[in-house]
Formats: sequence, C-alpha cells, structure tokens
Amino acid sequence: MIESRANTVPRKIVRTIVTLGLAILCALPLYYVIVSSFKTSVDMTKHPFALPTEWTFANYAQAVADGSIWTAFLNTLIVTVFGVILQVAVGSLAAYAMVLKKNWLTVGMGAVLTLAFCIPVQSTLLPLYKMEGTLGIVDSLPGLIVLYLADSAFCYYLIVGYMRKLPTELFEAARVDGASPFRIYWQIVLPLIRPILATVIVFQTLAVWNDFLRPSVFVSSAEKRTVVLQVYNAVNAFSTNWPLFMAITCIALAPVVVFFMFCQRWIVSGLVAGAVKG
Amino acid sequence: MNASATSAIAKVRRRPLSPEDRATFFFLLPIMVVFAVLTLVPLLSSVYYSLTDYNGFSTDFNMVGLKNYVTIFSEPELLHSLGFTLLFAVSTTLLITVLALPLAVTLNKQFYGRSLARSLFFFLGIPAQAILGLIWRQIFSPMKSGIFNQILDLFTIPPIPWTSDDHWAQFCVIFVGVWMGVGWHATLYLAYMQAIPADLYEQSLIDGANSRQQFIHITLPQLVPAIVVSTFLIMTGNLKVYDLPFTLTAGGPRNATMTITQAILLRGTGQSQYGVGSALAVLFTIVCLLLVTIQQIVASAIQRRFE
Amino acid sequence: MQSRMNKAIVAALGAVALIVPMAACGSSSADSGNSLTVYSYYNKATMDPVVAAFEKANPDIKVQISYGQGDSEYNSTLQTRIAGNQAPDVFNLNGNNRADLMNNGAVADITGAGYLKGIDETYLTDYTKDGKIYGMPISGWLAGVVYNKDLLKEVGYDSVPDNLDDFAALAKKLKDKGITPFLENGQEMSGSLIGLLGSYYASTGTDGDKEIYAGKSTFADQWTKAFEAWNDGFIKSGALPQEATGLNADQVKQSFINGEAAMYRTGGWDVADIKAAGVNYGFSPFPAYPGSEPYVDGGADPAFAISAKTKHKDAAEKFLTFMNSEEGLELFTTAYGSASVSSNYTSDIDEQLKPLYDDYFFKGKFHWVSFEKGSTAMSAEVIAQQQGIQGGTTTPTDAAKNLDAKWSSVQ
Repeated sequence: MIESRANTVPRKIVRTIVTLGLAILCALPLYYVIVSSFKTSVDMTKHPFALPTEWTFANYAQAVADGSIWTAFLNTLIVTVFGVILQVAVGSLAAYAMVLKKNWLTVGMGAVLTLAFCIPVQSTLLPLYKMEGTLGIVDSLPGLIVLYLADSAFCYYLIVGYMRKLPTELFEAARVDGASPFRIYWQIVLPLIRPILATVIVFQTLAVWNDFLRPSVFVSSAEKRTVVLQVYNAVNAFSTNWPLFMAITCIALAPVVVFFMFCQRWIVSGLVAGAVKG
Repeated sequence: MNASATSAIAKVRRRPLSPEDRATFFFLLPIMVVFAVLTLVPLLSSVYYSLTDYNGFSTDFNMVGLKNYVTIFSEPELLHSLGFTLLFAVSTTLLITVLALPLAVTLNKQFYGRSLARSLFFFLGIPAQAILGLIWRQIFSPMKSGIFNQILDLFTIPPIPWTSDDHWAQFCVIFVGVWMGVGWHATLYLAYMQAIPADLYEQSLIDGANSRQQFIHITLPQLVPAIVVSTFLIMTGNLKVYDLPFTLTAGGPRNATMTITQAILLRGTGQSQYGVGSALAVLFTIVCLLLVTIQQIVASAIQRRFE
Repeated sequence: MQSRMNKAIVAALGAVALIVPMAACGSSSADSGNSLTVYSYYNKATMDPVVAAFEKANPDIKVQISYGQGDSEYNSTLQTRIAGNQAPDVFNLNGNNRADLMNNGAVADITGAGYLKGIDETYLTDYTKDGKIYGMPISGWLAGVVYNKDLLKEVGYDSVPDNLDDFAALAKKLKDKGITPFLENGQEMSGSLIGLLGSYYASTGTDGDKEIYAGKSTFADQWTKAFEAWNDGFIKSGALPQEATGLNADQVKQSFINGEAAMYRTGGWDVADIKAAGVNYGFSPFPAYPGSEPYVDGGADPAFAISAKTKHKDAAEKFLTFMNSEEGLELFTTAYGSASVSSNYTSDIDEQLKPLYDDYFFKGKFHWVSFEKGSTAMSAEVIAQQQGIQGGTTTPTDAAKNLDAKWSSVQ
C-alpha cells in the first residue's frame, strides 16, 4: 500500500491543533454546563464563564439527596434500552423489506413513512394521551416505551440508505443456497450494517434518554419519573436554581457520555469496511 | 413487441406472490402497525379537530368546517411564523451540510486526539435544546457585558444587539441551530464513509490525485445517499423546531423568531382554541410534505446522475 | 458477533415478555386506596416540605405529585391530562389557564368551604366566576423597582423618584455615567408598564381591564394613556434601553448584580441572590402615572383547585385544608419566598421589601393583567406591542389598537 503523504507527523500535529482547537472552542457551552454545576447561584451570575471562585459540591449533594434520582435512572434505563431495541428492530426489518423486493407494498410504504417526519410532536400529544389513557398505560414505563416506537421511521430511514449500498450478490448467493429471507436478514445483513446500526443505536439512545416532552406529559407519579424530568425539578415559574439544574443535567448526561465513548469504535469500525470491499 | 415478450409479461402477471413478496409483508408489518397507531391516528385526529371548535376541555363542540383555516390565513403573524420556520429549516440544512462534510473528512483522517475531537463535536447537540438555548442566550446577550460583545470590544467594535434586534435574533437562532447539528451530521457522514471502499482512494493515489480531488471525485459522489438522508433529517427536524428558538429568543423580538410549533402551542394546547391549533398542525404537515417531496425528487435526480 | 446478536434477540423477547405483566402492573397501582394526585405549578423544592408534612399529618393518604416547568408547559400538560381523562385531583389555577378551566367545568366549586376561612377576599375575586369560588390562593407576589443604593448615591439620589419626570432625570444622570438606568425582563409583559396602568386606573377610579373584559370598553380607551406615559417616562427618556427586549429575567438580574444596571423590576424571588451578592439594595414602587399615586405589580400566586372529576374529594379537601393551615402556609411561603395572604399565618418578609407589602400590596395598590379570554395569545400580543414601542416602530396609539384587534380574534 502506498504510504500517503497526508499522514506525516507534522500534518497530523497541524490537524490536531486546528480540529481539536475548534472542537474545544465549539464546546464552550458544554464547559459552561459543567463549570456552573460547581458554583453557587451568585457566583454563576457574577462570573458565568470563569472557573468557580469556590468549588462547591452542594448542588450535587442536593441532587442526590432524596434518593429519587436513582429510581429515575432505573426508569430511564428501562425505557431507553427497550425503546431503542424495539425501534431499531422495527426500523431495520422495514429497511430490509425495502431492499428485499421492490413491489407496490414497499414503494407505497416508503412514501407513506415520510409522513411520519412531517407531523409536529405537539399535535400528537393529546390523541396519544387519550389512547393510552383508555388502555390504562398512561403513567407507566411500558406506556413510554410504546411512544418511542414512533421513532422507528427515523431508524428505518437511516438504515435503508446504508442497506441499499450492500452488494446484492451476497443475498443472491444465500438465496440460491436456500436461506429464508429472515435468515438472510439475521445472519448476513445485520452484521454487514453494523456501523449504521451502531450509529442509529447511539443516536437513538441519546435521543430517548434525553427526551423531555413525552415524559413530562405522560408521567405523573414520582416513581415513574425519568432522569430528565428530575433536571426540571430545579425550575420554578419565577426563578430557577441554575447551578442545581446544571448539576442534575451533568448527572443525567454522564451515562450517555460514557456510553457514547464506548460505542464510538463501532461507528467507525474499519473491520466492516473490509468486509464490504469484497 | 414480439410474441415472446408478450407471453413473458403474461406469465409475470399470472404468477402468484413470490416468497419474497410475502416476506416483505411480514417485514413491513411491525412498522405498519406502529405507524398506524402512533402516527396515523393522531394525524387523523388532528384533521378531525381542525374542523371543529373544540377547546381542549369540554366534550361539547361543533363542526365548523374550514373556519379555523380561514382564521390562520387572515392572521399575519401565523404566516410570518411559517416564513421564519422555513427560513430556519432551509438555511440550517444548507449550512450544516456545507460544514459537516469537510468536518467528517477531517475527522476521518489521522491525528492525535481524534477520538476526543469526534466526541466533542458530536456532543455539541446532545444536551437538551432548552438548556443550550439558555446558554447561548447568555453568550449572545445584547448588553455590553455579553460574551460576544466583550470579544467585539477587544477589537473596538461596538456591541451588537444580538437578541434584541429582529434580524440579528434570527441570525442567532440559525447560528445555534447550525452549531448544534454540525457534529451530529458529521458523525453520520463518518459512518457512511466507512462503507466507501478503500481501494478507490488507493487507485486515485496511484493516478496522482491530491486530497481535494479525492474529495470531489470520490468522497462526495459516494456520500450522495448519506447527504440525501442527512438533509432530509435536518429539514424535517428543523421545520418542527420548538425548544431552541423558544429558549433563545422566546419567539421575539416582536415575533421575529416565532416558529410554527410555537404558534401551534399558543393557539392550541394550553389555550382554548384546540381546533385552530390542530388546523395549524395539519397545514404544517401539508407544507412539510410538499417540501419533502420536492427534496426527494431533487435527491433522486442527483442520485441518478451519480450512478 | 453472532452471540451479541443473539443476546439482542433475547433482550427483545424479554422485553415483550415483560411488557405484558408490566402493563397490568401499571394500571393497578393507579387506583390503589387513598392516593391523591397533585400536579403542581410550584417546583419540587417548594412542595417537598409541604407534601412531607401533609403525609405525616395524614398517614392514610399517599400523595403522587408531579411538577410543571413554567407557565406554558404547565398549562398545556394540564390540559392534555384533563382532556385525556387523567385529571389530577389537585392542581393549580394561574392567570393564563384559570379562565379556560373555570369556563369549562374542569374545576370543582369550593364556595363556602371551611378551609377558605382566613383567605383575604380580595385575592379570591380572580378565581371566582358567577359568584362561585373555584380556586384558593394562599400567597401573593409583588414586584417593584429594586435599586442599587450605591449607584444612585453616585448621581445624588437616595431613592427612586415617585414621578416620571424626576425618574427620567435620574435616568439621564445614570446614562451619562455609563450605567444602564433600568432593566426588565423582555420575555414577559412589562412590569413597569403595568405598574403605570394600575396607577392610571387609580386616577380614573375604575378597573379598566375589567371593563374591557366585560365588553364595555376597549384597549384603545383604557391602555393608550398608559402606553404613552410609559413611552415618555421609560423609553424616550432612555431609562429602559432597547437591549432589554432580548434579555430574560436571569440576565437582567445578572446585570444588576454586576453593577451594570442601577435598577430593575423584580420581587421577592430574587432577594436571596441579591443579598448573597452583597449589593446594597432597596425596593421602591414604580413611578406614578402623572397626577396619581405609585403602584406595584402584584397579584395572588397561582391558586390551588380541585378537579371537578376527582374520585378522592375527601383527600383533596384535606390537602387544601392543610395548605391554608398555619403549618402549611409557613412551609410553603418560606420555601417559595412569597407572602401569605391568609390570616392564619403572617410571613416574614425581607426588610427592604416589607414596606412595599405593607404600604402597597396589603392596601390594594397593586395591579397585574390577567386576561379572561385567550390569555396566552393576548399576553404574547402585549409583549409584541411593547417591544414595538421599545424599538420605535409602533406608536402607543397603534399598540392599543392592535391589542383590540387581537382581543376580538380570541372571542
């Protein structure tokens, strides 16, 4: 393989400085969130972007004081894990159907699914709430999980483009060997689309974990609260305890940050690229 | 047409559903159910309510035909909010795409601290829009003490009324929208880039291509499907935007940055004009569908050109 | 690779297997024994001590409380829950939702209830319709001008002038020194404007707003003069700079604490921060409308109400009784930082703020605007018009006319 001129050490250093520098600059707001969580309210008001004049852990202490945050974590974990697995499952099944055979059903559904992206969430709240109310699953975790299934169209959309680029010879070969469509999906296609699956899983995990609107409307009892709702406990109509808000936000986001750093490798895994090269 | 072609067509027509056709049905079944229950029903519900004077509370309401739609068209601010929403969606789509592509290419190259850079960029848009809106509000404060104004002061430029001037406020909202989306979409492009066969690049190096040529002749064409996906997502997502403009500028000043979703909320839920709110939602869905259709047509045309 | 996929399948199947029993669980816990659902406008920090004490005094009642996050979220979520037949047993009525909720039979009639005893009747009027009382406010808020005594002293003033001309003069002196004279939150209806409006109504002797709601008058007749006085005294004088339209409450407070602004409009909720910042502060009412007396912004805090469809009326009534008891009032007003409007308890108020309560609030010299129809849309319109005046693109006369146009569209 020809060693590219593009990867010499000086070039790498320049890239590091420029890109990382830009990234850090852009991340100023994230810095603000973290730094504020260690300040008192007055300190945050007087010196919003400076380091704390006096580092305080009182906000974090207050955030975990009554223990409700751990239940909230558990709830969010359950909702996120099941919500994402189901979404991705439904979405990838649908994507495979599109790739499998072009008939009026797939073309039709493909067109119809774009509708799912064009409806503002605000207008779906009331009808969905009524539906779940009649089914008795309103203020419940399964009720929330069901709501997130609506994002399957999003998963479908991200996956289908990637799936279409897979070489069809592989499917032909498997079909000739007598494999059922489901086996092809399960054993050949899914492994091949790992980068996009990993990407979608990460994106959706963050989205579901972070979602505020749906839990705020549908959850009304303390034990079903998600972690993002806890963040807004610091908000009052007239005044908000901002350092506390920031502290709870940091606590709420910490798991997903870890999750993302862990999954990052899958998204850009070179292994799969090799398989596709063929 | 000759005889063998006609008989072949006749054979196709008479052939029973192949196993593949049956399979597509089962694979599509879950999403059809999900779609019907979670998307179609609320949509039909909105259409229904848009034709009534339902106020969101009492079960006693009447059909009023298209009256709510007439109300919408006769209120300048509602049309204005549609205008700004469109401006926001289109400009963020363009700007994010233009910035995310080079960023993805850079993040795909080798350098130190690459993991950290990728993570930082991705995370820009992760904290809730509501929180980021408030933080950016601080940065864009129109007072002399605002962060950007202080930086401008270093260059002896007078303070800019970021959030208190109509057009500057619109700029701020678009700026933050782009800032939030660049990292996320760069990550998306990064994923799709993994599927570009490496030998394409190797071959081009042998042919003596520099990195700019590689970008224009290999990367870009290969990323066309990804661009289609990404622009679709930005467009539809930002047409529906609510939290960001609301917390950054609260739709002001003087409704310059009001979005359609904010207008829906002002009129619908929390306000006893649920019928009008529903009509707005239906109109919005129609406009959105039109835009998306246009975008899809353009996208397939471009894709066909590249294949 | 294979095993990871298999694990995913198992997890998904497990999910399905779990969902069925969980769904059963979900519904049963909802109607267990004596549980009371509360959807509170006030946040966790405020309500936690209250709820804990209530449960202690009533061990057989379990309170399920959830919180709103600001006005519009609270109102739309509450509406969704009521429309979806999951109305909370106890919730709050605020300026923006009370009209809708009262007009549509969503709230229980609590006229004559024993627990209303002690609440000053003036505050009950906002929550009364056709002679029936629907909400119980237990505390009140007020807002006036908080000023930095040191900064004012620098330009030779001890306190905020009580008339607009002198106020404009003070503003000019401050501006000459590079200090922003006055700021207020650009994201809500102007407190200084409404203070002037109240002062104007004091001089005419009628509550002009109520006349407008009853259809007997118009914004053009009632509000134009207040808009003009506000425009002269605050905008043209340069006291309130145009930048304020882009600032929210926190940014305004920040400017004051950092010494950038000499005065701003606020109430008891910011006192803790101002004190902690070490600012030498004082409170004053707004300058008076020419020929009238100074007023403050103020009103009852969002009231507690019982759902018309509640299945736990007893428990709900016990909750309201507790809110209006000495213990409940003390816990609530201390945590929230407001003043009790019930004779069952008198709150401790910050000493700088106390004169405003004693001389203005409890004497009825306060005003706030709470539209009886289309409240959210009307408030947004007022904000748009005031921002237009601040930007110099709308005249006071046109501002009032636009309000009339909006008012007729929400009928």
